[in-house]
Amino acid sequence: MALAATKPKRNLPLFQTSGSIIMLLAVIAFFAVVAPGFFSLSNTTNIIRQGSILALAAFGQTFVILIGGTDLSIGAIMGLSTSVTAMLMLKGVDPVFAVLIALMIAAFCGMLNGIVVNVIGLDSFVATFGMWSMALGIALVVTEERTLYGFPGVLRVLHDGTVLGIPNPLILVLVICGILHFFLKRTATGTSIYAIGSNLEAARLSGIPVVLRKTLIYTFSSFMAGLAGILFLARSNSASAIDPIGYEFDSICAVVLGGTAMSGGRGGVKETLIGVTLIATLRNGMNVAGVNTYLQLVLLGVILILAFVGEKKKQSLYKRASSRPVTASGGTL
Amino acid sequence: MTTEMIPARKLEAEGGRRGWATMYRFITLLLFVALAVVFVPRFASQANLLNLTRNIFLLCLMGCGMALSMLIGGLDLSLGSVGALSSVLGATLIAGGHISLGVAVAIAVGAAIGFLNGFMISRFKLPDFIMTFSMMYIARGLALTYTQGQATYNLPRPFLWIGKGFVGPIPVPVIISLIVLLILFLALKYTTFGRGLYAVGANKKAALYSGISVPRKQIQAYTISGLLAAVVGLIYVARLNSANADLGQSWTMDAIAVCVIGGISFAGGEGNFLGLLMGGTVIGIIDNCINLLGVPSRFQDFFMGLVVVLTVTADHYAKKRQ
Repeated sequence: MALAATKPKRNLPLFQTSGSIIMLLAVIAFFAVVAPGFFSLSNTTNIIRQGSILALAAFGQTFVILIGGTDLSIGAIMGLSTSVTAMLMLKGVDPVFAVLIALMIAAFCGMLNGIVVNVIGLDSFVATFGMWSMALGIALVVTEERTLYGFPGVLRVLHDGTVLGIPNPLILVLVICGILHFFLKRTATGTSIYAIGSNLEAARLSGIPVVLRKTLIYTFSSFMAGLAGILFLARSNSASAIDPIGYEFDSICAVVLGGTAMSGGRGGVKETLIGVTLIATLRNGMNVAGVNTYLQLVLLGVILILAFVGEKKKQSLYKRASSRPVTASGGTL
Repeated sequence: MTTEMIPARKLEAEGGRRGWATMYRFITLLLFVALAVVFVPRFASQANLLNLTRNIFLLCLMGCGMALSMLIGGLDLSLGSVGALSSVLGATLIAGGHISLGVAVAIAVGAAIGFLNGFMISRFKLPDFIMTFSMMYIARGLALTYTQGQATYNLPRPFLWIGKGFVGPIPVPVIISLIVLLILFLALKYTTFGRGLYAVGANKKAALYSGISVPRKQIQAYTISGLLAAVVGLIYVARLNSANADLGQSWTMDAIAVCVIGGISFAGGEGNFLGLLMGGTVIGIIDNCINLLGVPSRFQDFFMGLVVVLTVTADHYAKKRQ
């Protein structure tokens, strides 16, 4: 981080952000031509509403990826918070309490993730994949493997409502994005997250409570997944444990396409917002153009792999530019 | 406790750890069997034991592919989806009467996808779990696109033999699984191919400097993993007499659980294929008891996740103590 003034490093994020913006514009232009009805006000609000769920989940994922981890449990945690909220509301619990309890459960799962990864020291994808399985299992038990519906529609205002013509979910996402951006870039705790991501040992030696911060980040990620689950519930007005499965995949796609480095320490929520817009636009465009849902999975998988190949290429370019050729060729293994 | 500690401490550090790990696993296994026999009704019935044996060996077979990828320090998350894709493709041909062609196509597809996984991981240095995670969705998406949600039924009788048949008193899947386990066990222990896999998993740089082609080993491991996923897929299709793109959603987690309990290390370069038998037995018994006790079937997901995290944690601490 201290070397941020050297030339290649300063140019890199700029290139990445503009790269994903160019990609976004290209995608929009492509679908505007190919799919009639794509470029309309109603469809745009639809994209925003779809994308806002992903945005919330991806913000949490961004934090985990910034510290060099991955959270594979996001989809299952969303399913869990959706199911718990629906189940509680069906039992007659006040919706506000139902939401709070669901969020607390989600955060608790995240805390377990954090403890298993940081205190015990397992790989993040092993621990979070285990949590994925556990949360899915509990959610399926809560919903009894059915789709729950018929609860009061109070939450729908979160998704359907507008303030001064602006959809509520957009306001929610922008406010949260603003707060998180400010937190990451302007507060000492926020910048310490970058420090942890770029060099864990250096961060620890400079007195940052690494284990605590990292555990809290996993907790936060699951909390955001819980929030995304609530918005998912508000959108579909029915709850099933399995429907949100797959958001972990979309969220990693969004974060990586936005330009946050998988190795940690580089990126942010602003970039993720662009990545989310890209994924949401792609998904929506493919829907409007009549590409079936199954094929969309295939395309997203290919895109994620390509994004990674691109990131690796860029890293090796950067390495070659910033270090002597001997270390670059010897150290790439 | 203390009487057991003394001989363990006397052993060399390495041997002691192995001894302890095996002992701990064996005790867990015995505990499971004892609990199951005492508390679960119908557990010890002949029909159930036959069913259990078949499941245990299928779990071992799933674990084989995963274990190979874990040995080189990777992870194959695409296992279930690859099994589904290759078997639905093969099933179309098989249902048309071309049994051997269908089986060959399924296995070739599985191996090809595995090869692609290995190639991308070694050539572009992608993180293993990202490549195979993407492949999990790609293969599932392709399988669903191909079948459009329709299952293929009424497969020819000779093919069903793979899943339902017997040789003498022994079910065919058990025999296939035993053969694969034996071949892999011997290959890993006594051939340069196998020693190379261990070397790559233990230390990539050291393996490279001692003249082992790391990319080639990675490609080999993932290709065999994909191939075995296709074999498991075919056996399941033959057993269910239907090929469906939804096949194998839980295989990845099951396979990881089998490997972890079987003593294959996530860090790579450590583990024994005979351990998979133990892993398969534990997971098979857990699954079986959950079914017999009438616990909601999807609660298995919860247990698998819990078992994986707990076992890896226990291993981690066992290593730390050394």
